[in-house]
Amino acid sequence: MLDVSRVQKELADCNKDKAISGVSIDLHGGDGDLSHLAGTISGPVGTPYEGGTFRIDVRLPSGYPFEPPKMQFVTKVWHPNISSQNGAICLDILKDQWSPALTLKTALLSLQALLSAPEPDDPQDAVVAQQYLRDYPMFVATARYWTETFAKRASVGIEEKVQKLVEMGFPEALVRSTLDSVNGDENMALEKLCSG
Amino acid sequence: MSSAGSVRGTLAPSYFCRDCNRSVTPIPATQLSCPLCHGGLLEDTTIPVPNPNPHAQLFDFIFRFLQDLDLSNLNPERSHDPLLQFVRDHINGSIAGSGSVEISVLIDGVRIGNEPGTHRALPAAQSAVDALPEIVVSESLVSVGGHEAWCSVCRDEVRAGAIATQMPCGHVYHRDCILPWLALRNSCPVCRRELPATGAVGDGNVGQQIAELDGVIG
Repeated sequence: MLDVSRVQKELADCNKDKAISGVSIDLHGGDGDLSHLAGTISGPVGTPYEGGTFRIDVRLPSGYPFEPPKMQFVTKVWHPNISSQNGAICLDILKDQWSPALTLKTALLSLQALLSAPEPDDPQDAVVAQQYLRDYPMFVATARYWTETFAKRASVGIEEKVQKLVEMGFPEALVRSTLDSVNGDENMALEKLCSG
Repeated sequence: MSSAGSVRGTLAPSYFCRDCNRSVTPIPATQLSCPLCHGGLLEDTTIPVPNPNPHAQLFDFIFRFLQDLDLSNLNPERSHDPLLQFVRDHINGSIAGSGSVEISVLIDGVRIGNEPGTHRALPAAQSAVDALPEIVVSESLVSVGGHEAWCSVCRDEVRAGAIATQMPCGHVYHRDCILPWLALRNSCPVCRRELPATGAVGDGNVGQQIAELDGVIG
């Protein structure tokens, strides 16, 4: 059984100093489901991710905190240890090195640290890792371009877009996840909502 | 025993699951995931990987081959295991040295119905868990500040005078909090200092094998 009391404490703890830490976590939808959360991390200063806000989909298995949280980048990111296709993350503490003494906050901070210190020798995305090792300036330029394109646009005016789509009659949680999946493009989200 | 289909499947793998350490063909879906563990750590193997596991395809083949065999009659003593001996004799040429360790673990994985890669988590030995002392939390322990003042598992405060379970490293937890973890892993959640693991006594050197396997695959 998911330890609800611990998760609630973690949410409060994590958001207490989010302006300083650069990481935050909230419920994913408005239905109070504590097993599906939405994390954000701000791109570390001095990296190609600087200025970007990266959204992380967080799912807590029923065995949490004895099992690691499942985390995946929703915002597209160009990084050797994160899949450029589906946002899957290669990080030991989210796998076999998890410990219940770790928290959602420390896991998000670890992701932030991963953005600062890529490990191309243990890649998740082979193409990105190859570029990192063979043409570092091009890697930096690409990562920066992806940050500008995906990690900034999505967060601009997202609340207005959510409100507009909710007023059309779509449920808020669905609106948010759909907007996420199309990186904040309102028209594409509407198209997807109508076809789904 | 039909392996043609599965073997054919392994010859044209499109993705490599980093959790299962083998090639997989994902279920067609909007989001890529492994058909075995449903994890998302997939690599597109149509793109050359800088540091691939050279044995992955061979393991995949052997794993499927073993899955098709009835392993229930095999001698659990590995050194006399005819199947393992066969595998050793026939593929030592392609896997040098520690390959047989990997295959042993692979066979164990099939035998107990698990995928390879799930052997890392070793529970603490029951005798070690039973021997953990219950202590009355003292004022001095609480006032040291830091880890000892609260249980790192439930994140509730541990007050002076309360009963808590103390690990050999000195870290204390509520008994109900630490026991479920020790049933999965043999380490202290805070400092990772290990208790004796289940299987460490009387089951050969499983820990060492896994360490070697990690070395080979990792």
